[in-house]
Amino acid sequence: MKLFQLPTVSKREWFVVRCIFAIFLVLVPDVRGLSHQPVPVGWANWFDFTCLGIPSVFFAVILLRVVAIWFYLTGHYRTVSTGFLIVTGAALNSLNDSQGAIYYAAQVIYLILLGQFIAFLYSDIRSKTNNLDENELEVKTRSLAFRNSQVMFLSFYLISAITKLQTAGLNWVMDAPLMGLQVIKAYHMRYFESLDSSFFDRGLDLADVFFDNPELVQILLGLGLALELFGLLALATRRLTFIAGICFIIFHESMNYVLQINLYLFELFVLLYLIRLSFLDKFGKDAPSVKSEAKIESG
Amino acid sequence: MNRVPLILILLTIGISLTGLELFPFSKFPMYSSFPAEATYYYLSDENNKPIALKPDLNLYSDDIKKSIEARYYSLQESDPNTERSMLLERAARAYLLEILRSKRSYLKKIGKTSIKLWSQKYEYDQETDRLDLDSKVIAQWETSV
Repeated sequence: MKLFQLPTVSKREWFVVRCIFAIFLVLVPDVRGLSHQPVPVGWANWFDFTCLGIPSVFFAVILLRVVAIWFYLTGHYRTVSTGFLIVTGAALNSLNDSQGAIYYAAQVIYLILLGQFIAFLYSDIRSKTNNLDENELEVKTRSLAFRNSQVMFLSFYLISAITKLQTAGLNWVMDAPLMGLQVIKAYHMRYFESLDSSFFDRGLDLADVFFDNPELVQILLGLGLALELFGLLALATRRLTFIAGICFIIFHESMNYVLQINLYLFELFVLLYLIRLSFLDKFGKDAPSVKSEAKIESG
Repeated sequence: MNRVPLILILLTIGISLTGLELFPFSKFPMYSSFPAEATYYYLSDENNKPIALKPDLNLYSDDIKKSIEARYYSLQESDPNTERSMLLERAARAYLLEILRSKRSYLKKIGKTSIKLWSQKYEYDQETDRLDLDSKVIAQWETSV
């Protein structure tokens, strides 16, 4: 059995995945009125993005982005449109992040888009240098774009895991029971957001579980770290990818509960890129085409 | 490139780990360590009654924490010799001033004329299994509403 084969992705699955993904490209930070970059982050150290805070400029950029998203969905000028979306996304998010709070979810979305952009660019270059059949090239581009999306998404976990090991070493696992303090913080922060007193006591009770069962917490967080570190290897086979997807869902759901953070976006990406929506191919008129596309790909 | 784009993976990891935070590359440092203390912030009125951040000010607790700490790190970079607590207070005052400016209409709506920014720090001692809380006002401001 060949490992790490490019995934077979039907036209329909790829379209549905792009449609869902495009929703997150529409949602950009509202930077209207931001006239300075008090804590410049990344690109904002070199460029002044405050012109995007002018309402008319902001609306013009949004309008152009809507056109680019339309091209992304229809598959026309996809290299240019994804490139434009990445550049404007980087500018808007850099300005927003330079206000003091960094939103990492946006970075994951654009990492995935960057993976797709590279696949489209590679295909464009290949189509000019090789005499490939248009249909064959399209099927391969789709597979490559999907594989790059998976890779970029899983790279995010790998980077996060390396950062943990760089920052704390294996103490990240040994000190895991101290996560109880983060639990208190998370629940109390929710309390001060809503003044719902149940959050206050639940935080303290749950933290006790962490402090009282250090070995169990170490094992569970150690498993989570291993999943982040070796997630990319799950791309070896379709079945492994699916199993890793289920593990990531369990991991995120636990974090949602324990740390009161919203990781549903990540769960959705796990569903789209790891668990996958290939069941969609079983429905509708063009279902048989999937088989012939798979043949092209393996050939 | 055909099976696993190794160059893409290595480049992504390499650029991300430089720490330059060039969007969309990042070190993603969330929960990268578990210190023995945890601090969060909240707002109260002049009578020390907490203000419900979300419904009253359309504000998230995470935003307060991230914003104050980002300002603190920025101050620390430009003024490394000043004491931590002083820089933190300066960062908190700057942030509170910005809240008063950007949330003026919300404050007017709930009829608050003065707000306090509180810091709450929990510390846990693993050896004695003791949990301590240090709660204090780090910035206070009168509004002109």
